[in-house]
Amino acid sequence: MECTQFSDRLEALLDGTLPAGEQTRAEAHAAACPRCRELYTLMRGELERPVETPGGLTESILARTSGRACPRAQTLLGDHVDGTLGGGLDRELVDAHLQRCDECAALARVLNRLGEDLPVFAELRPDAALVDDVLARTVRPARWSAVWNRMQDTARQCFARPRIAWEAGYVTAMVVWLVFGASWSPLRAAPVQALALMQQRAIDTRVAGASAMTAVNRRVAAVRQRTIEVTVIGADRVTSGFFAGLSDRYRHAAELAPDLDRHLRQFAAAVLDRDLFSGVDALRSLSRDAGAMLNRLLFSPVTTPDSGSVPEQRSTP
Amino acid sequence: MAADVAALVERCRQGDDLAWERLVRSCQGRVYALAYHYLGGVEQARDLTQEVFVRVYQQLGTYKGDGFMAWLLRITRNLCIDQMRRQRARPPAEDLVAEDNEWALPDTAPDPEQSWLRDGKKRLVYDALRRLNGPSREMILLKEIQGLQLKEIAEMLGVPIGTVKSRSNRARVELARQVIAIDPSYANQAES
Repeated sequence: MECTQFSDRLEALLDGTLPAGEQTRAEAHAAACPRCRELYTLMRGELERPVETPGGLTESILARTSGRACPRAQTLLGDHVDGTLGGGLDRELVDAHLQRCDECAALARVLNRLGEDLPVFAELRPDAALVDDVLARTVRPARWSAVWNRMQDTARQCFARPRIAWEAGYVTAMVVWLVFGASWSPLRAAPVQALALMQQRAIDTRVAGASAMTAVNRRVAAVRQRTIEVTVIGADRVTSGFFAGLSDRYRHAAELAPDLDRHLRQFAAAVLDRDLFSGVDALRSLSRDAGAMLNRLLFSPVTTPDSGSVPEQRSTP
Repeated sequence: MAADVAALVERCRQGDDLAWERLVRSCQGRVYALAYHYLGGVEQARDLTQEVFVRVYQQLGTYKGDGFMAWLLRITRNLCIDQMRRQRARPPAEDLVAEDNEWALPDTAPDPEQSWLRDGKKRLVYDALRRLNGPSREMILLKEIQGLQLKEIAEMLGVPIGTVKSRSNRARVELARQVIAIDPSYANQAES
């Protein structure tokens, strides 16, 4: 095999696609020809020796040219972790960067872990009454009341705005001016008329009040005078009648004094005679007389001889 | 699940109250979680969740059928933004602090933050999430947590898809930086 033929077959020899006979002849030529053998071994990479570069050379070059590649790598880290970066050159470049950059590698690991931990916060379980509250505000009202709820919500949002006070004042002023201040308004003279009417009514009320108070004062004075007269006369009558009645009652009761004395003597005689039955009868008559006297003195009406009343029956021994 | 939601929505549009109840039960968790992340309070999130579903119930006729969950979360996000604007315009009056806490009534509503804080891993991610600025946190909420597509987020925010993609990548890297700043060994922890 000539050197030119070996050169033509060298690529197929390295790929291993050369037929077996051709491969044997090519390797025999390489073993015999120093020049072709050197070329063959060089192409197979056997002569490659690792070249040691000074430490930090890459960083020094990057610092003087593009700067660190970390910001660019970090813009792709999300897609790299999600697997959406594809299998192209970007993925290969990011992989190579992560092998040499500890900071970006740590970020990639944290991002990978966060992809598992963050969805935990997607859902929270509220208290059980929330569903009931929502249904009470939605389902239970009839369909037509949804319109009313919407109006309420709109009004609530309207009133919740900070400028509602200014707007309400402005609208009120405009309405008052349109109703009472505009030249074409039929109610333009209404405030003046209302004020005059109020003033006239105030005057009438004051005059009527003064006359009513005069009449009341007169009536009060008359009642006071009459009360004084009735009180004085009545007191005189009551006092004189009381003492007269007391005297009559005393005299009326004193009429029973002889009977009381007689029965007292009978009781004393029975005690001296040691007569029990006579003593008891005398004591009973004595108590009856005492009761009759007390009744006449306090309760029974005074009986006069011309009144026709029946005289009180005297007790008998 | 998506097909189920679509079928439920179609039933709801026909006036089926039973389907509406099922729809509320199946979607309330995501609405509540998103509202909580935006507003940061249990009661506020609860009230806003109610408002969202009332709004959805009233506007079911205008739903075009292109992704109910994205539509639902868009309404949630818009109401949250309105709520936050109102709060900035008129901050709520602060309650007087009771001197004796024994008289304070216990809050019966479960606080998600408290439950997350009990889990060390969730607490770490939640703390890192709270360190992000508003746009980055919103991007994480919508894309990584709620799982919305770039196109849906772009329509929601009114920006091009490329902008959403770049914002999302930046937000994720920023979140990863915050996580490493809090706990460098986060990625090496075993699955709990």
